[in-house]
Amino acid sequence: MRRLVIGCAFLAAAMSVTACGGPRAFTRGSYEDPSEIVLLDDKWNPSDMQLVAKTMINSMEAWYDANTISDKPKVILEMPRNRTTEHIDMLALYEHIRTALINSGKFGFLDKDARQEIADEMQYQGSGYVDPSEAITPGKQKAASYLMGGSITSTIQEVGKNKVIYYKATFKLTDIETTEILWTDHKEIRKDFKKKSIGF
Amino acid sequence: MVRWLVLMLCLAFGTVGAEEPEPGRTDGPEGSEYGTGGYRNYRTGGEFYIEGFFGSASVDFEVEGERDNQSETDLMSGIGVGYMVEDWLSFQVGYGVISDQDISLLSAGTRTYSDYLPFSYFFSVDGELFIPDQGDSKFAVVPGAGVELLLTEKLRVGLSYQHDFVFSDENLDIDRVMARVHFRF
Repeated sequence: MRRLVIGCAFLAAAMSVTACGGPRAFTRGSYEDPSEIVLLDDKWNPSDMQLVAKTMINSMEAWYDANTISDKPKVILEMPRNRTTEHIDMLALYEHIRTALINSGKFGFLDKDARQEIADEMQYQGSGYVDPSEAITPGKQKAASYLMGGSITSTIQEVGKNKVIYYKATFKLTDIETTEILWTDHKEIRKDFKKKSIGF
Repeated sequence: MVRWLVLMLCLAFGTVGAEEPEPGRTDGPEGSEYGTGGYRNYRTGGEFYIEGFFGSASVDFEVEGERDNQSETDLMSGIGVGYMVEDWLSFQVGYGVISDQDISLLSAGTRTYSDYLPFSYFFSVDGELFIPDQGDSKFAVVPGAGVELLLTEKLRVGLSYQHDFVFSDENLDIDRVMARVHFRF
């Protein structure tokens, strides 16, 4: 009887340990190369953003090189549209593309988001509190000649254990004066997933 | 019994050499990312494993006419296969033999892991069929604990201790200390 009790106690203790093995905190990590593709789940991930951005940057630079444009194009953003069923940080994608294009020296971007703050600052500088010889006067802002926009759509096919996710990102550059779309390109991404066969 | 251990080591080291392709990158030429991905290395379960164990088993048993129990220690070896349901929980079945006493042990149970790299600690509970060469088979519950050293992503070696509680025979129990080679695939 004593052995039975000891055995049951061991069993209970071991089962308790088993029960303690539930969801755990992420307490260990390491820095990795952000350009390496990692697919931990089936959601939109940083690799997708980098692949879309890379295609658009290369395509826009190729368009610039192929066309004899005398002046550096001044571009303003039309916020890209997320037409998928999941959350995608479109601003992060746009900033990724914008940074690379500005650094290439071929495109100039106007800061649309800062307009109100700049107007407020100019108003303050012209109010008399600031030395008039140093105050920035209005009327020198550049005019945008191109509007950059884009959208991302997705299609999901799911049957049994298999899931296929398809993204299509389309970007375009529109001449503000003529509304003609001067450049457009798209990037297609397809990701195949398979659910694990056994699990809780 | 040594033969399967050698076979398993060959299998383990042979497969370690056949690494998966490097994960793709997003900064390569267009299309270079196709067909690759790191997710195989990041799965949280869904792996099978095979392991061999080898060590000593001390069997305490009653001898008729004698007051005190006797103990006999012999070599034990065996093999187990299991499935990682999550990265911390597995189910396994195993077969072991205590060589000079002609005792076979068939077991099935669960194991829980806690990783403290490069070590991994585990607790296990098995239901076991104790099958002596002569006499009836007996049922036992076998709790155990052990530690493994992660040599590669797939290969581990470790030590474990298990104690058999044989329910139908109060005078019979087994203590085992085992060295293990554990390979995941």
